[in-house]
Amino acid sequence: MIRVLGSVAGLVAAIAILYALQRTMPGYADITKPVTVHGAIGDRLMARNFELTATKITLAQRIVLRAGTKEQVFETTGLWAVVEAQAAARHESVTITAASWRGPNGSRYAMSQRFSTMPGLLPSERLEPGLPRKVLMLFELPESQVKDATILVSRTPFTPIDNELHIKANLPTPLFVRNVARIIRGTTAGEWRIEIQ
Amino acid sequence: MAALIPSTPRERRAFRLSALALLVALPLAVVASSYEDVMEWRSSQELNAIVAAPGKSAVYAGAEWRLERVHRLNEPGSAALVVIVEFEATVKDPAAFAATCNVALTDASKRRWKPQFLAPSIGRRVRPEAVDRPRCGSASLRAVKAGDTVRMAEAFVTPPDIGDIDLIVSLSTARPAYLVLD
Repeated sequence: MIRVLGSVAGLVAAIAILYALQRTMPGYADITKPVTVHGAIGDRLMARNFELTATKITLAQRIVLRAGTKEQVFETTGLWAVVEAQAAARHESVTITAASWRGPNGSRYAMSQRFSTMPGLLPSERLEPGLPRKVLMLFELPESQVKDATILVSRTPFTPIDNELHIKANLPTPLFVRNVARIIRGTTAGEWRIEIQ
Repeated sequence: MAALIPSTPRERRAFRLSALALLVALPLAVVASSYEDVMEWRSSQELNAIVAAPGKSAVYAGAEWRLERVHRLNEPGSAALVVIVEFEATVKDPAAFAATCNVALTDASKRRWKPQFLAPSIGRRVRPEAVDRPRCGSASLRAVKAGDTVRMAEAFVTPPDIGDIDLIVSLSTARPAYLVLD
């Protein structure tokens, strides 16, 4: 009798353990997911290949790109978030191609691709070790997704077992939305400055 | 179950031999199935250096390589330094030389700067004859004969405080060996 009970208990325990293992087994996406580095605006964050400090977020109703005397206006039905940052490679020249804005409901907005000639955009600037440079990330967002957001930056859109920066975008309430963020192209390649109205 | 347990001495011997054979067969299987991947990985790595001392040449990938000149150019109003490296290769084995070419600049800190796709504007203004040279990748695409000397240049953007620099060249036909031009 005791032997039978022992066998049944063993069987039940084995089933329980196997079930627990099955339920907790991480999927392939979990095993290879990015390793996050958390921080806030103004923090110098270190990823494996690059370092980046998001310095400022400006919300604006339109973006104007000025090159010489020519101006190009980019309107939106939502809001523009202009994120300024300082970035450099760490050990080897690198290009950072993926940045997105994760809103409070989890929606992710990739950088706007409407700017073909904008200077200083993060994915179009090659970063060099020891040479920090000013870069821009431009996001086009619905107003509801601006508050309590996180900016995610990684070397490529799919970065298995590599770092992804998670930068908390703490914006004041009520939102301070500018009329125009004017980005003015400099004289050397990739150089720019920003004027706000 | 009983049939699986060796009972006669002959069966026991076979069982032990099989168990021992597994010790050899399993590692062999791992090596056989991963050999090609390991070799492919190895040929994409830069593992053993062939160093050319300053002013000297070195034989690498079917050619004799030599560093000619290094120009350090300061763009006014810019924090960066533009480094243009001129180097040449006298080809002995055109087949080994015609390969994809990786170039990088390193300093004592072991940081690596990759070459610029387009030479920075100061290079075009100050050293046009250097930036007009083909880059390593495009030079190895052209047809060369044994005995030809190919003159190349690469441009880099680095911090101004960069110290002693080495040019690193590696060709797919010669990797994992790579060349360091001091």
